[in-house]
Amino acid sequence: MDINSIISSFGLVGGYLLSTNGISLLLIGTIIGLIAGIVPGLGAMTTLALLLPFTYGWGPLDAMILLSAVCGAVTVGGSVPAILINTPGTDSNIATTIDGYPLAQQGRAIEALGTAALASLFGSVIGLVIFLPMIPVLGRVSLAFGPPEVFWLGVFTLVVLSTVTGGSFLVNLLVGSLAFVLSTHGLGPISGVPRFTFGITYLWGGIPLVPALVGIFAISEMAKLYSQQSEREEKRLEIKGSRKNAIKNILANFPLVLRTSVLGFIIGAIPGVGGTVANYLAYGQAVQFSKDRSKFGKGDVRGVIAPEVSNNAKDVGQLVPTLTLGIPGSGTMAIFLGVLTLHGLNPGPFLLRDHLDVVTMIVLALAMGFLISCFGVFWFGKYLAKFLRIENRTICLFVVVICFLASFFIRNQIIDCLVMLIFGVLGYFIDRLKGSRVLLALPIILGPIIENNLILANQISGGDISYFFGKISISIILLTFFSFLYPMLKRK
Amino acid sequence: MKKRNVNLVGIVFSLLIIAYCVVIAIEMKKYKTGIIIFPSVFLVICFVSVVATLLLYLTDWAFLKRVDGISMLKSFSLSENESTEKATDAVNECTKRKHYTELKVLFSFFLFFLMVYLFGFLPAISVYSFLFSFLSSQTVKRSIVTAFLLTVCGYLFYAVLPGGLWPGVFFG
Repeated sequence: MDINSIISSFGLVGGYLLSTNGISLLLIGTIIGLIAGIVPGLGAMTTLALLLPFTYGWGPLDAMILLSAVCGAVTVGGSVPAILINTPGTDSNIATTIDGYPLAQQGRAIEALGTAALASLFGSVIGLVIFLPMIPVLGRVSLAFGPPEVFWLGVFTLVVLSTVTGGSFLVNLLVGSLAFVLSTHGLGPISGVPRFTFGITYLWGGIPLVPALVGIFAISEMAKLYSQQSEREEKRLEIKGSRKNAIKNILANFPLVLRTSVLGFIIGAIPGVGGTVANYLAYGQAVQFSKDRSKFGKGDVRGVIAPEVSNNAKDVGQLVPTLTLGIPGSGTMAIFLGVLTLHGLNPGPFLLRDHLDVVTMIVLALAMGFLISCFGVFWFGKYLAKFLRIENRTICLFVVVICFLASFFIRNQIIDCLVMLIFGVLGYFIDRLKGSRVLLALPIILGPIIENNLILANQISGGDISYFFGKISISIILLTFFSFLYPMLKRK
Repeated sequence: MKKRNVNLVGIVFSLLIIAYCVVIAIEMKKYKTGIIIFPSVFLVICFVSVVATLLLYLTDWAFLKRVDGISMLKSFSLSENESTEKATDAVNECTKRKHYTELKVLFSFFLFFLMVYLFGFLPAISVYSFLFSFLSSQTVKRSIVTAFLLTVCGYLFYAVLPGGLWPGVFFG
């Protein structure tokens, strides 16, 4: 993979993105993403899981335009409720509330929204500037992977996500391995022999991906959303302030923008570390590097800039493990991998080699999604805030009905709705036991691919076990042990 | 003596997973080795971790607690769990109430499924969305509007889908 092929791919994909179809999808995705970000509780994972079934039957490029635009816009939109009602739209906007809301209380809401929008824009642009030159290098790295390495990568994903997603390590490990076993129901790869079907014809096709993802990410989330009381009415503020000050704020704090962009990108590139971590670390960084810390928490623009820059750079950083290794940087990226599978593409190290156009489309659409949504929040933040009036319970009802319709939509099977509910309940209890729902979803997506590679490796090796322990495989195995043992030893 | 909080949900969850593992392990005997290598690797990991989880819930064993707290990130370490355990009774009561509401909502989703299965999508959507809105302390007028909007949404699916929507066992 050389620079020329990457540039020509960007040219081709860019042309498609600028077609009527591409622009329409981009705008629709950005609007949906902004609304999903603004309405607290919806978030990227629920929205992507809901949209996933509707992209079935589309070309992968079209699906990627819509979903990448949503992904880009959600984080930007999440800053609106964080600033206006002290409630983060997504997990990645938590730290924005610390100084964003006091600014709004001081009558500087538009300035805070504008600053957040520009900070998001700079965060994403700097993130992309770091990411783009990495593509050829990452492409070369991914070419070094063969079937045994992909298998070990699967084991590594399970262990590393169990240790970094937070909560209970044992529950995470249990959930991840359980999901790998669940992924083996149905016809075995290559052999075609039905496994663990218990005489049920429905199980021959395995666990249906779309209902499972919708259940895990949307249904369980809606149960939680319903129980949260809407307190938005009381918190509503008058929205006023100056956009010019927002531009001045960014220019005056450009070194902070640069620092937190790099920090956000690095955190995003570590699989499983969520936006909350990036958000708080960037905020902490802004405080630490500041000479005058007295204003933090009382309405300091640096307290809005740092978290907003980092959470957008983090979104770009997440593409590194997701697109090169098939290890998702977050739950959102796990759904992205599901989308790829749904469209017949194999997520993992071979994606860059085999589907460079899809990768470049994700990058471009994400960048455009960021750009349009930042523009939207900067100019129309005041009007977008009207979506905050929608009550949690109304959102919950609409999402649940659409979940049912979407799950039925794919295969016209009513039993898919039941599967969705079962996975929803499973996801809910995993959450209650401090486990990660991403670990339940990911093996269902990646399990068949990893098993395929294990069987292939076994056939190629002809029983020679050393084939499974090449240089890269050993490095992955060592990394797996390290990610398990290091935190354990560190705490002694 | 201080009463220890038993994680009943965790225990039931672990027992269900153990039962699932046993069923799969018995089923595995029917297949050739070649096609069960992959599931058996993860079944073993699953079984070991579920037994460890169950032991942790039942005994509060310090070693298992330490293993359970393994995290690459400090913010998610044991200290956070400890602070959670120290939550006041009022907070516990509030959490209990929240969990109860969540379970009720999940149960209502299953009722919705049953309605869809029996009467088909369109009647089920109208009735369920009206009841859901009305019981969530909304006015009759608003509940009717919500139900109408969602039924229209359902009808759009009916119009778009080649096979239509599920008509229900009574009307199908």
